[in-house]
Amino acid sequence: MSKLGITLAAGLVLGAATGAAQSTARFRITPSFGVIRFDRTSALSSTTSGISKLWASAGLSALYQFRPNLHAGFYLETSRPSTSPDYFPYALIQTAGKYQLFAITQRVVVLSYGLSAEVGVPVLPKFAPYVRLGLGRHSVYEDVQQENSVKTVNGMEFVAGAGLRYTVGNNVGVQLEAVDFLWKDWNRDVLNPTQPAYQNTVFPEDNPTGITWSKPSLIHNMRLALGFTFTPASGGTR
Amino acid sequence: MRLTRASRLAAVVALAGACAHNDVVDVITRDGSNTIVAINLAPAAAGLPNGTRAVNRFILSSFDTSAYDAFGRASANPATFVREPPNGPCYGTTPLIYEPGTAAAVATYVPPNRYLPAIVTPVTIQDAGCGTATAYIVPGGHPGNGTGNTFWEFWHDFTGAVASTRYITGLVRYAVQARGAFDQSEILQTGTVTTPDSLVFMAGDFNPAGRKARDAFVACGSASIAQPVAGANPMLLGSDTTRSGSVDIDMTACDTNGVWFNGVGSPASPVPSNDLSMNTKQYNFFVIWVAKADSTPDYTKPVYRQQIGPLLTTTGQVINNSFAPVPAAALTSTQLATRPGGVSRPDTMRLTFNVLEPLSTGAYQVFLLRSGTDTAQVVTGRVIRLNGATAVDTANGVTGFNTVAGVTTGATVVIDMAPYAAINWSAATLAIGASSGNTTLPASQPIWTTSVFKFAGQSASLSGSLAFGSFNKGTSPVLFGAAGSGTGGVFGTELREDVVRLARPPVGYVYEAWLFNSSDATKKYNIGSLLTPYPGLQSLDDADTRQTAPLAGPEITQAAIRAVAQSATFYCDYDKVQVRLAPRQNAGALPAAVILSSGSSKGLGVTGCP
Repeated sequence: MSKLGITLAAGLVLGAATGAAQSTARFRITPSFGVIRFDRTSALSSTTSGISKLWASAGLSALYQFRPNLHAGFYLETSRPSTSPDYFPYALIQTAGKYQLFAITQRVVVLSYGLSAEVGVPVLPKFAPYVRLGLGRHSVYEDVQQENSVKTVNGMEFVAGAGLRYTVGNNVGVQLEAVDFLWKDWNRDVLNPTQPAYQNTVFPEDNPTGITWSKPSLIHNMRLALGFTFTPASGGTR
Repeated sequence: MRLTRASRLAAVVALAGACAHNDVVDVITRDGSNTIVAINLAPAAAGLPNGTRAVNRFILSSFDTSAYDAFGRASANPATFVREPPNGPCYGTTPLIYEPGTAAAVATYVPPNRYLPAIVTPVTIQDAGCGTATAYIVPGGHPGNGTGNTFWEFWHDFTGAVASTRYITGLVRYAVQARGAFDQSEILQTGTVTTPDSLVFMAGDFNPAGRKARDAFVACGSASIAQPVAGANPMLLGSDTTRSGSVDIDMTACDTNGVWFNGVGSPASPVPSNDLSMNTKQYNFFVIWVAKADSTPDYTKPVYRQQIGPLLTTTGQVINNSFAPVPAAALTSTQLATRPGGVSRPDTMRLTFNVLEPLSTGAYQVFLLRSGTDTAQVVTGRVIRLNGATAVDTANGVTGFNTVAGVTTGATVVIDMAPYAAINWSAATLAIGASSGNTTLPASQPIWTTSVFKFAGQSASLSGSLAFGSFNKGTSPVLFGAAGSGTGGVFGTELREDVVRLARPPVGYVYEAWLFNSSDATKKYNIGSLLTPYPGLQSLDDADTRQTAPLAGPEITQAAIRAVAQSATFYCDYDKVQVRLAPRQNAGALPAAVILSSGSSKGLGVTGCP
């Protein structure tokens, strides 16, 4: 589905949900904040094993309640990670008869958006675990100054996750959610900030080992976030 | 409500973080060093093995008249196109067609007359005032006849003429009616003609025209000048009568009527180039006849006939080896041996080989070959070992030799070719054999010549240079040339060079990487062979013959040099990195052949060197 198509679909759902919420209070808004650990082969993490590298993330979702346990709607997630030099040949610069090797990174903006649905399973009156599935796109906006151009990398993504929601009042709650944003056809080399002519081939032993890492076409970006839910049509939290 | 406010605050914090812009650039450090002095390599091509060939003389085996210009007499200009001898007393130094054909002054001249119809009462060209025999054909526009002139001049002054007899001159296009062997080939090989050929007019090519009246040296504006006639044969050029025992016919022909070219070298020039380019509008003889009463020539009574172009068959084809002028005598055997038609062998051949590295095993040998075949024979000869150009020692009757580090750098092999006369050898090569007793042609054939025997169609060369590379039995010789480049430097304690586009070494040779001190020859270090690119870093010692990855084409596309030292100060003794070339059996000395070299950089740029 194209980026425009998703946006239109999301708008329709959001509009329908908003209209419905004005009269039935079935529309739920959830801002969320958390951390995301990008796939270790993505070049947005690092070659360090374990947790590797965590980046702050923020998100917003607007879900319409179709059934008591089924919500569906639009989601938007963003983060601002830096690329890791561990996955690219170093920059080899010759000046005045001398070489120097540089590890160069760039900060990028990652945007995820699309449609998702949640199915909750109430186990207690105010406590409900749920699972979440979705489909959307990811956009990675590279650093304009370093790339010397406006460059964006886009691709499809799938969303799969689960969470726990605790209802504080009638229309307010908090939730803790773990979600895997699966990026399809990801190629980390597009994030290399060094032009090919300056990439180090003279001292290849000094290049980071990550340049030989595999490049799976489907990568897993795990996000853990704390969300705050409210239903505006019912008067919000006032 | 608190939750809502908290969420808004968190959103503001997240947006502030998203707008932060702090790029990171880290300098990579190795062994405490974060800079690498660039040590780049460029082609040097110094000290490559080379050699020379010298032949005393060639001995004729046979002569092949089918070779083009087998006697070596053709020329792009007309025959005898020379400066007027001795120093241009009448016409200056610009060349003209001087029929006696010599640069020396000739007072009188009688040309050889080998064809039928025979010359009757031959006349002798004499000096009419220019200090030498007067037999000129002066091309149109020649500066000797005045600047801007546009006429050809035909001037002949002769004695031996019959009293009160009229003579007439003309240009003729003759064909040859052959009898037996072609006359010129016979003359040049034996000096005699068994059965003379006849000069005849081709069918339909007898169209006399031109001027029969008394000669006149006039410019184009005169009514007395001869006007060239298209298709004329012969083209008559004026006449005169005997006076006081001699005749002087000096006639001009205008070249401005579009028939003739003003000068030589054109298809419209009446006198052709002396090669196979002659056409049937040009003339190959100048003739003086006894004239009949009406001043027309009596074609049975030529008194002077000079060949000025090649001969034609009766169908108008130019005949090979028929080039002007008619030869006067046979060539010697030595002369024939070196002419294009000669098949001959050297009496002795001296092959000098320079820059031969001492071999740890095996021997240098010379082989004679038939290029492109398996026919080869090791040479037994006299070996004079050299140190530079100085003879060090001599060994007679040997089939192999070696050089000694610091003592000999090459050798001259003197070969008596008589024992090898049974086979027409086309090449000789230096080879690196397993031992001096080896009789089988080794694969390593680094220095060669393809000039041994002289074959028909080849020019004879008494000396020349030898080629260096891979001879491959002459099937597909590959000349070696230094090529390629390298980039790198010392990073920490390691020297690394990325080498690209080197030519494959000659078969039997390898590249060696060396550290070198250009001011102290005792300081040198053999890094070892070139390596395959990282991460393989495998030896490329077999790059001369290897056909597997990463070597498949005619060159080493990419290679590497790696040296690892305990400390960076190890490099302080050297100022250059070089790629050198040596036989695989190199005894360990620093090879003389430098293929790639860096510029001089003290201590290869390592900081802290004394």
